[in-house]
Amino acid sequence: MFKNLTGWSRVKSPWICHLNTGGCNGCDIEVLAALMPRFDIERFGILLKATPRHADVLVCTGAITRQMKDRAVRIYEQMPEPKFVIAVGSCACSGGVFWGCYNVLGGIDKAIPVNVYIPGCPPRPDAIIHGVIKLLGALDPRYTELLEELKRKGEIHVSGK
Amino acid sequence: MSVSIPIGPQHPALKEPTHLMVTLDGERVVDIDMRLGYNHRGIEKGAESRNYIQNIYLTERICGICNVAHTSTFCQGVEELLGLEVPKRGLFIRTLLCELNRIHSHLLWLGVAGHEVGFDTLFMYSWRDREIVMDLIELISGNRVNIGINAIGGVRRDISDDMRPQILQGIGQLEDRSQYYLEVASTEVTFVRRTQGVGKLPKEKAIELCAVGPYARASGVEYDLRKDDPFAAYPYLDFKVITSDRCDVLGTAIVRVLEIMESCKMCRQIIEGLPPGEIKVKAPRKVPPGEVVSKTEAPRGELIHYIRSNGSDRPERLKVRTPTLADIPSVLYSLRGGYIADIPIVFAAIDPCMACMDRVLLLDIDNRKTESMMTWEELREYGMRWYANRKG
Amino acid sequence: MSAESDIQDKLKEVFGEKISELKTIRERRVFVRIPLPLVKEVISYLKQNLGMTHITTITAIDVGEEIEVLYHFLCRGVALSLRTSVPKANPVIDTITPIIPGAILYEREIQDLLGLKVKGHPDPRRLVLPEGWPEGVYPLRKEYKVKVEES
Repeated sequence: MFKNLTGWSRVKSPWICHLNTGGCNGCDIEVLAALMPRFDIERFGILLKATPRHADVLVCTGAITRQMKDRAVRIYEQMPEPKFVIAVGSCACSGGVFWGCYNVLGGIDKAIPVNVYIPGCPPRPDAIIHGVIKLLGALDPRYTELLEELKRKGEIHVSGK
Repeated sequence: MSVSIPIGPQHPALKEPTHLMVTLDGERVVDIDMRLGYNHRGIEKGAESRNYIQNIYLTERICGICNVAHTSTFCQGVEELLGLEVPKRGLFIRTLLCELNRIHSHLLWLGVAGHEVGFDTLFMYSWRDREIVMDLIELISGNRVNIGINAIGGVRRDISDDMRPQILQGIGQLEDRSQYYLEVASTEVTFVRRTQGVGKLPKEKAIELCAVGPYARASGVEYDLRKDDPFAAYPYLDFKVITSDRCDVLGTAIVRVLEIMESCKMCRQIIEGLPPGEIKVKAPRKVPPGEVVSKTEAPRGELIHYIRSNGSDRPERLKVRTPTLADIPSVLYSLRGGYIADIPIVFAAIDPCMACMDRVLLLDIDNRKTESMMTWEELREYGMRWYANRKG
Repeated sequence: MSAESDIQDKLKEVFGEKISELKTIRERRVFVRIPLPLVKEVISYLKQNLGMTHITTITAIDVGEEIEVLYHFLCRGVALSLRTSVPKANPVIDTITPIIPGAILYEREIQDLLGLKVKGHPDPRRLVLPEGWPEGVYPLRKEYKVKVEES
């Protein structure tokens, strides 16, 4: 499918780690749906790992609750450099619908620095893949080409720019 | 000699990332304790400063997986306080989405259960089939998750005639696939070995500890609000309540797969018998003083919203008890005396809102001396190795 | 005879003047007010004589000088809500877990969020509030105002 398929295997596969800091699970199931056969982000070499120690990208969902704040910081500290954080969903971006609730501090950036914000409640798996690949494009221009290819083929539907 | 192992945080249920403290004697769990609250957001208090319409959006996000159940329970409660009668067509559409929500939730569970026992093929298949349901939900409501279909007074979107063939086709596909899952659940060795006889919860204990939902029904407790306290369009539908006498995790799997089949039947009845008419009545913004106990059967079991109104456009008090909280005493009971290798699947049997999928687990070392710490992933892998070594 | 009227009649027969505000607001919804000292006796009676074992949840509401506590039970298919009140200045209730073990987490929740003291509870730890949440601060009391931190 991709002309440089063998080239992909030489590019370091980005490993992502998923953390829910207090969400409703709506975003979590869409992150997982992005990994499942229908959307299948794994074919780009993006793998979900359970431990932050080997992860390049931390995918965060949910608003940050008081109880999860220290843990989010600790997990971020465990990741090796270079590391990136993606906030998936309106709650991870800003607290979303829970902003103002007593145990919610706000978005993920109240605890750790965020590189990419993907709004939505929840964002579709297409939008999540778009966000992840856009981030990876900052690391490796081949991912930007991949993103254009996916849009051209209609595999990801992106309105606007 | 007993050893204490903390596990977690991870995320089940409504109260998500949890922390389990397990006390072991060799391989056996002597005691298990659970710490909740990582996902406590303060929604009940938040509801008091939002009006009823805003609260539909807030309650929907208590749990993204059972979002339709939450809005249905909430809207139904406010409708009762207002003395509104929702038109029959609106009730039918609301019920259709409730059942589609149930199907997607049970398929999600099936995949997660498969993952917990190392049967990732089941995970992939069931989540792929779940996309059939997600497409139907998106067709009707415009979104896959957190769909906003319910309004106070009815539903917001109608089902047009050209949607019907697509819905019926999707239901047909799901019925075929559930036959396959029934075979897998009852005969596939990888799955049966890890779930048969595991996580035993006798019927008397399930009743004593007030368990609900498919988890209780798998222990023979015949309690399903759709039959016992009918709401929405359930009085007009013909369906069976599924129970099992197995009292173990395999029982919960079989009950859920059979429930998917019953839900498909109900969806078919709804589409074929959809009455004409309005989908919603107009609702006033202010709700006269009163109180209501609104209950529905969410995918995980008995869900209650207690609402007290005070004449304004904001509730005086909203109290929500989600079904997973009701099942926690029972699951802790069934884990005691079992093997540590069984913890992931037994825990998953109550269908905690998000099972062990993303596990980034960091553990605080307790002030007490502990021998070791484990993440959920490590525990799951331990379980798979343990069973592999036990072969023969 | 319907379950609702059966429950109402039996409660009136046994407890008479001691209970009040007994009403069936619609099918399968019965409410009754019980004085605090009688709560355990009424629940035991219902368990013994009407086979009531299932508690759905316990709601506690700050109504000013008092905290109203509602025990939501399932009794013969009816959602039976038993209402009682405690003074906010001394919000002590007895645990019902010896009679209804399934109430264990709901009692912890009202301790946490409204500051009720459940006497005799087998495990009175915090349920949902985070470690480090200040003692004596009960978020679901009316006087607790959420402070929104502007960044």
